[in-house]
Amino acid sequence: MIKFSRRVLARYAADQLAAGASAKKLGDELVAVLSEQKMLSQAEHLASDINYELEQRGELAVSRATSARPLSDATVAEIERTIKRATDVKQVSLDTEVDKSLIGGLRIETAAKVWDETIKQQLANLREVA
Amino acid sequence: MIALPAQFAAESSGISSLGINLKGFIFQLITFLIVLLILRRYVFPKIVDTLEARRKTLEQSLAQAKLTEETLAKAEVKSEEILTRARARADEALAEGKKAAEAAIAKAELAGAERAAKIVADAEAHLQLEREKLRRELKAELANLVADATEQMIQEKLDDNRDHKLIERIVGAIK
Repeated sequence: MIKFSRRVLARYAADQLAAGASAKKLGDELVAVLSEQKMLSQAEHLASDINYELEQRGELAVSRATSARPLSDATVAEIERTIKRATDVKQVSLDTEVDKSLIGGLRIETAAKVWDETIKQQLANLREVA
Repeated sequence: MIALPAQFAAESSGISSLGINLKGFIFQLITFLIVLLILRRYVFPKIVDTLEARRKTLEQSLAQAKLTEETLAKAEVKSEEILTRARARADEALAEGKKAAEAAIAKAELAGAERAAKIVADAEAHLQLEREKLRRELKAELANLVADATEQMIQEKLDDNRDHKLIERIVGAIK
């Protein structure tokens, strides 16, 4: 049997999703392939790769916004719009997370990009300058 | 007894008036001649030979002495020359030794100076490295202190409203 790399599987999955294939059916196929190739441990990585491919194709940006305090709905909507503009995708899937250790500011992550403007990161940058 | 000629007897009265005993004189003369002959035959040659031998020995000794004296004089001249050459060589060796010693001292001094300079240079380089290391450590320490102080200050000062405004500014800056 031909062994497929993770990148190849991700590209295939992204193409299928972009073409409108059923996500559940596609998921089952991928699980079967991973199982046969004994690559089930890499399923999470494959998911990230698929998100990356979708974002590169401008289809979907799976993203996460982390802040020290809960975000308002208006802010979340603004963040979605910003991500859509910045990644040039048709759709944005945004999760929010609260992490008090960030102190303040915001971190936005997509499959292909990261914007980290948290107070914690800026303090880490300050320490690194030395 | 020898028979004397008659003429001699006749003249005896003339010579005897002078107080000379002719017979005795002739007898002594003959005795003298006999002794002389005996001496000449048996004694003189030996004496002459002995004297001759002694003379030759003396001559040889004199010649040998002269030769020895000449040899000694030559030896003295030669020894003087040897001594002069030896003194000259000794002086040369002394001068060379002195020169070599001075050169060795100069070389050792130079090597010592170079080594000292190298030690100083190495020490300076080491000090420079230590200074750089200390500077980096101080800089890191200072940065950490500033970051810690900043963190503490921000935690105290940053409220919900300020954080919200900060987030708005961040989102607005993303392109």
